[in-house]
Amino acid sequence: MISRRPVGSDGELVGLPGRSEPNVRLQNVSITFGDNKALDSVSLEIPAGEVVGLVGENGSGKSTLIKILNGVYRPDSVTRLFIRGEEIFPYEDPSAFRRHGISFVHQDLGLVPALSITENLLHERILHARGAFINWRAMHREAAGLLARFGIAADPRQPISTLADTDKALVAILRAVEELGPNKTLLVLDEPTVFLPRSGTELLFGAVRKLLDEYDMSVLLVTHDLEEVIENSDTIVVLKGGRLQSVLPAESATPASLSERIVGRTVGTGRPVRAAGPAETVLDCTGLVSGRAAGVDFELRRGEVLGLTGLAGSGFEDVLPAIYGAAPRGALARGIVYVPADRKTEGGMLEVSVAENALMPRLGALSGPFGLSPRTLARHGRDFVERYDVRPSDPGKDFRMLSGGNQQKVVLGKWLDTNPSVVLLQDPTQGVDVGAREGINQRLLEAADDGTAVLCATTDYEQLALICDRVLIIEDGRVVGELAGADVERNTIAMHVMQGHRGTDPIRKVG
Amino acid sequence: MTATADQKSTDKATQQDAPTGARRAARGPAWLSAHNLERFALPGAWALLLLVFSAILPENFATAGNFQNIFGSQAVLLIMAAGSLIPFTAGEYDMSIASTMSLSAMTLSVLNVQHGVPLGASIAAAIAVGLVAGAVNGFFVVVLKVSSLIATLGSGTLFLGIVYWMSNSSTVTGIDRGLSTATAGSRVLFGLQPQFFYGLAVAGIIAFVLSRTPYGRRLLFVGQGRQVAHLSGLKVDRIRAGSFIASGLVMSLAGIVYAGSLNGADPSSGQSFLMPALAACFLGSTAFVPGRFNAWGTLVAVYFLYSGVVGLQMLGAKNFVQDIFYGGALVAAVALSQAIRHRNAATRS
Repeated sequence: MISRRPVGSDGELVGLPGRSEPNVRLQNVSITFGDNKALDSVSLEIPAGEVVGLVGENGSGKSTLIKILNGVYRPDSVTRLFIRGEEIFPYEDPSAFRRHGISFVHQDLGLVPALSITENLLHERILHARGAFINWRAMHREAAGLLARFGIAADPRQPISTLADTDKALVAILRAVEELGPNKTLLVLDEPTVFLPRSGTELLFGAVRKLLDEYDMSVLLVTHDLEEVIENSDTIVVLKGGRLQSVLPAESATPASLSERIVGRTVGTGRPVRAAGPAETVLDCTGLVSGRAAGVDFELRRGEVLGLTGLAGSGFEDVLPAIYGAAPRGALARGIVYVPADRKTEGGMLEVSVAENALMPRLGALSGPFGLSPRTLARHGRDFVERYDVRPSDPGKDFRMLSGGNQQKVVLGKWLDTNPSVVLLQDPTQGVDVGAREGINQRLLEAADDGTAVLCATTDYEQLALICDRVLIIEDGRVVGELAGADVERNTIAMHVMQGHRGTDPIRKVG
Repeated sequence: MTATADQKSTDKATQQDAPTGARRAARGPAWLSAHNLERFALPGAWALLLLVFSAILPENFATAGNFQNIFGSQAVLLIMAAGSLIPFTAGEYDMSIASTMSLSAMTLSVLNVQHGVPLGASIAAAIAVGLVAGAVNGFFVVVLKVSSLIATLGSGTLFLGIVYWMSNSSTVTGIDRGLSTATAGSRVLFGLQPQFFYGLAVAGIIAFVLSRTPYGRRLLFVGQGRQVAHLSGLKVDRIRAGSFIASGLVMSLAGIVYAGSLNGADPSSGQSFLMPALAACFLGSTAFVPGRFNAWGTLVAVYFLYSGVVGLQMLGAKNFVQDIFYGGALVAAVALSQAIRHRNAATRS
């Protein structure tokens, strides 16, 4: 069923000259953004009937590679791309990929919830139907056939929104295969299982195998979940820093060996441990269930910086909104503040000035006998932008005119100015430039020194390593491990997040 | 309202809290900035309009009587437009303002004229009706979660139906003389009717509330970022519902003035205030604090629009020019305020 290719002594694949042409062959794929080579001479082959897993850290070039196959980015001219032996680059028009039978399923699936299963599945044909009328009966019949073949128990007339998550993902995959039209070459699955339960993942890859048996196509699977990629691929491609790190058969890979290839050798650099005596617990979270968090336990102590991390979809992202979002007023009354991930809709008001955004929690206090005077607002605004180093240092500017990093300084400063006892931060460095990142980390450490407890949920391991006293790793909705002291180090965190602990010993069980 | 451009440049120049004199000196050379031109474009256009019509029609337009008419007769519209700013600032539409105003005016008239209820009690009832109408809107929008545009269009029609019902579809006149004397009777200052000063007072109070009180900022925060406001601990739903109740209250004041100026109420004429009030709100948002609904801009817009109508009518235009002018002004004002926002997004520094 699965074609295996010979393996060399070092566990990497040996090229086989004269073998039949793979479905997709990439040679020397390179792309340069400014001075930065995002991809540097990456070559790989995707043979028919195979699932090729693509893994690498954030920034390794994974998504850039996909965006090249998508036509979003145009690679450098040294790049050569072949589909079924035919060279298609340089192309006139990026739709060449589509015409040659490449389609995508992204993490968000891209389904339209209110439309019926049939409309979602066959949208291409419905949109381009000839004649004045659509033969709905035939369409529904065809959709029903597809559903039955892949074991989805649903009426094709029902809206997508009524399906379970797993079935939605299956429909998205079937739709992508439909989109391929008659020449089916490559299906790219871009983290399609992030939001699925374990059983759903198995069902999904069952369907993928069925598709591979049926059509002469291949699958490129992009994921962060190492167990998933080992279980479900034939070959695994590791990217690191924009280069091909290794290509290895999935059967010879283990999560440990793979994460070492992805992250690189771990060097226990250690870090300056902040003087931390026993301190009172300010936030005791027991059995938190919300979204994908399925019983999260931890204690947050005064003056400590605690990190929460895990793979996307592991549930670590659901903890802070659950603590704060349900009742912000109650949380605020207890001195808990929240810096949300989405600065544009949750963090700040785009068309309101920096001063007003920053002074929002303190308006009552700033109001004098004649109300809020523009002078007072301007003075406190000036003081604010100076203290938090907001650039440009003009408090009258609209929030939206600031860069991501400066917006984040405003949101963080707005809350730090209320002298909180607990600061919750969700993904605080997302879209934040390096300089601002440093400033934000500095602020957080200072706040912790003053006794504030900081809880930061992020996949930015670098940031965690820089600021955290302890890091909790969440998997399948639970805390599976805790790193402290010298283990709070970028690569160690990455390694533990990626390797997974299902059924293995936790690093150190907590709670 | 907030730190505006001239202050900003001053702030940069004089980091310390300089005495007022120094501030003004530093502001001097910058007064002709593009931003200031924009802030004062609407008052400038109004002044120009007055000058042009006065030049063309020295006999009719440029008379004290005409100016007394222009200023004195728009109190109801001014109060209504100023009141609409409250829900607008909170990010909601109140399309029921005209009906709420009519409902209050009619309640007052029917109680006082047909049922002999004393004037004071009738006025209190009119205010209560306005508050209830606002609460109904708030209920539709916040509890039933109907979009405010639809909810208030619906409730406006509903209120109007009640107006026709309780008035038997006919005009009710003959309110206690005291009311008409207090609104339109004597000429208090500069030959202006008292209602002009009521309008000015309401606009002034709303200007103060919106720009200088924490409550005004909270309305703005809810309007500009509902989720941000919620996460910052504001009682978003209460503020949204409250904005409709406040609007209902102000509309009832407009209704009382309207009843006073007509010495009664008729069921249909109130509707003609809706579009001019909206036009004035949007046009006003292009002035003084461009991009933000503000009461002083709205005040200038009310008189700018009405001056135009009066001038055109004196030039021989028929009554329909009013509809064409206000309707066109509404669309033009919205287009203009959007252009300002886009321009702000692209270039303002």
